[in-house]
Amino acid sequence: MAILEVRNLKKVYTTRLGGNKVQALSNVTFSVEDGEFVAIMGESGSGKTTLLNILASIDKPTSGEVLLDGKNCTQINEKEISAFRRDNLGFVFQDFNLLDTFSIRDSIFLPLVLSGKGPEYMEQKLAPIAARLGITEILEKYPYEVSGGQKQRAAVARALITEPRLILADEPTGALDSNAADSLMKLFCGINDDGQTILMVTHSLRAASSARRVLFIKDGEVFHQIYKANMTSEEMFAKISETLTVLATGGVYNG
Amino acid sequence: MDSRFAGKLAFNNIKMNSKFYLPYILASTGIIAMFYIVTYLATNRGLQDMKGSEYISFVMLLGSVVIGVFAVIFLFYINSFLMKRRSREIGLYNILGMEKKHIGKILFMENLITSIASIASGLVTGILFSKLAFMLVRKVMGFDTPIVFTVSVQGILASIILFGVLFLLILLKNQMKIHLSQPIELLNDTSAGEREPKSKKVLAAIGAACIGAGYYIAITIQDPLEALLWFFIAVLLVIAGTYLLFTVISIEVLKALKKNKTYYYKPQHFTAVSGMLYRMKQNAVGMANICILSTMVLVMVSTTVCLQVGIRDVVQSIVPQDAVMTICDNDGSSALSDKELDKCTQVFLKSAEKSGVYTENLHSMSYVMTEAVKTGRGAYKFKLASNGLPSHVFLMMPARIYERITGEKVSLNDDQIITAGARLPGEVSFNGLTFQNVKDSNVKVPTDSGTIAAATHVIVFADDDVMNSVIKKAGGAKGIVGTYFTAAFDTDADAGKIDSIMDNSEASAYDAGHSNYSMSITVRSELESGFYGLTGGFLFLGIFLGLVFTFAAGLIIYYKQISEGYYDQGKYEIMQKVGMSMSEIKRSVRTQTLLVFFAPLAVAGIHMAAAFNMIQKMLLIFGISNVSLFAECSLITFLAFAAIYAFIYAMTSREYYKIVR
Repeated sequence: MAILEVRNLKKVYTTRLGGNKVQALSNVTFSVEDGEFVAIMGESGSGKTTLLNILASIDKPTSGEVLLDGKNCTQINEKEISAFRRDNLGFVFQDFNLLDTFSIRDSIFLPLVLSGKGPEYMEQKLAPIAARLGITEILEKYPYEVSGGQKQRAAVARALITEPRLILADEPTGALDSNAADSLMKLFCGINDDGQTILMVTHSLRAASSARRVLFIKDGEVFHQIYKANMTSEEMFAKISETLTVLATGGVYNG
Repeated sequence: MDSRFAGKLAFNNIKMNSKFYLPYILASTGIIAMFYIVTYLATNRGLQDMKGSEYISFVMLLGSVVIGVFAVIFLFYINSFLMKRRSREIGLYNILGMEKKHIGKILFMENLITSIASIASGLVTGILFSKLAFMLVRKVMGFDTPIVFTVSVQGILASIILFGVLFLLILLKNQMKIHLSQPIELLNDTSAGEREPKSKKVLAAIGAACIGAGYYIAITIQDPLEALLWFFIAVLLVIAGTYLLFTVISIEVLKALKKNKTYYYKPQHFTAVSGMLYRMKQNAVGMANICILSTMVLVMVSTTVCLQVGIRDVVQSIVPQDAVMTICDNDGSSALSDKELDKCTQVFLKSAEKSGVYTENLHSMSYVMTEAVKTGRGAYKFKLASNGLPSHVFLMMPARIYERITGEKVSLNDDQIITAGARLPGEVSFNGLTFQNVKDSNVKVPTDSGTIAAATHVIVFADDDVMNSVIKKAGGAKGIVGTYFTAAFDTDADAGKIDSIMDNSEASAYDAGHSNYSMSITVRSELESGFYGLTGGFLFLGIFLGLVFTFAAGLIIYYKQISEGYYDQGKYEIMQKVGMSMSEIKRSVRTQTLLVFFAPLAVAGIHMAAAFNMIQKMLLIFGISNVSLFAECSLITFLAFAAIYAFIYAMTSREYYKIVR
């Protein structure tokens, strides 16, 4: 069953001083099945971030629709959208987006506090997730006291704690060193194995090669897709690399 | 890099950062203008023809010192804020290949532009408004204004020198900062240091102790002269306590709130408490500054307004009519008899006639003046004040004299008295002799203009015998100033003519058997202008400095709002992504900013309430004993200031929302 369906998405930005129109997305259509781990790849300016912002209901498309569990999220009104986002989507960002004012524990609690949950319930929820992500030791620390990898794991915990339908990750390894990036990807694979649906935007080959499926975006359109199927990560890596080369040289893919 | 290019860059920088620089230039302009106006008034010849002008000059000189010192602290504070905001940009210049020499040159040009602009516009504004200020001073002192427009060369020179040197020092400080720091430090300066504040229990206790001690002194002090001495100590204690209150005590409180889980993990408290804990650390000094400035404004304005309004009553009580002649028999210890009183009145009328003064509504009377110290509630002991200010003065007269001046018949028992002047309780005792206070009269009894006591009471005894026995009990002349004869009257004659009555009368003509006399004539208009020179000067300065400090507080609030706006900008984006709706964010921001901005005002209000008793006692030095008048002045001042404060808050928070959105 498709958990997320994106149909004919189009986004045109108009520059402030009138005339100039920039087409970020021209026609994007794809769907994500329940329990999938999908990566979206593309060069800078290909429209990845615009796409993710629309999926996150932070931005509105010019035309087209986004269905989450069959519900059109571009139609949700302003009042409900925050609660909708909180209950259905989990976010992991490139720059972690942890607030300096909160300890790691409070950062993870934030979405639950906003939904009005009590302290006992939150503790109960947190314990297994923290153990799983290996951050139990640092819960009392503040973002400036922990490493980048730990910050990102805390952000993942924050995304997981609401048990969202879909996790949206925007360049999650972008600010991490290669070791931390690898272990984060292992973690993503692990939670995906547990049944969590993940949609990740990246331009890191290594990160994308962990995904079960990779979509390529070019000039605002879905250009191509690769399924991992039974390939190893190394084979997947090679395949993605090949595709990117074709994309970059502008040749017509014919494999 | 040639100077023209540096100048161009500098000019562009100021234009690009106008959000920061414009208020800075405006603030400097304002302070320079105020400084010029005050020095102008201190040196102005147009004021010197007025009575009491020496007070005005002195008070204004004091004012120029206060503004000067304040300008130094304040402009340095604002500058360090500006530099912090811009250090990233400067670091970038450095990394992009500009040598420190070049950056120094640009900064020099920037400072040159802002300094010249501030001094020039400050002087122009000052000169334009000095005339208005001049008219205001004359108005509060009750004079018309001659149509002349003068410029004070001394004022201009003093302003240019003081602020020129000040801006030069600021420039040097900025240059030092550039030369001593590494580009990477500059790049990260703006976002440096985001740590949860540590709790400092000892300091918090010291802060609480400071405020407690200051309040204790202010609330318990009784003696006016002691109040004057201790006032500065109390002020220093409370200032120190206020800084500690905002820097450490508030953090302790917030931490305690955070520990309470069921309270803390509520959507409406969660972000507010943790946000404030951080804001506190960043803004504590700013908040303490605002609080102290606000307190100063409140205290100065309410006190000086009360002084100006209340001094009328003081003049009234000393000279109830247009003029009064006072003769004191320093050896006397009983009131003049009716016969003697009539004789003295006749002698006075004859002298007045000789001077060409026509008197109306003449009220002549006699009383014995005593000085006393308070030993308990309603209990007094006669004693001459050895130095300084007598705390209580009693004007004692028998009922017959009271009847003579009021025309009303009284019948008192031996242990009953009528009182007037400063309020006394129902039971009053002198050196152990107790009387029932049966009536508060509003009779006006003129006193010697040289005698201003903390409280002046009029006591009417049943007859001469009772009164004499009270005086006798005091043990001879101890605490007895003497027997007074006073003649109060209304007249159209001018002060010179009235004064000449003294020359036309022989003291011996009033003789009642003694030889140690002193004689004086007090003309109300002269006394008034002397007093108004002082109180009017204080009032003007109080309101003037009040404006300066309000202005400064407003500017600090403005910069705080803007810097917080930039600081919070990223935070809201994150919170929105995590699932906080815009309205939730707005609500949380509103509670936070309201608390952060109105806490200083609330604390200032509490400080003011605590200072009430002490200031009221100090006002007694000027003879103002009207407590409800001071309470009214305080309340009105507080409400007016709160309104201005709320207005500043509303205006600046618009800037904040503009940035955050």
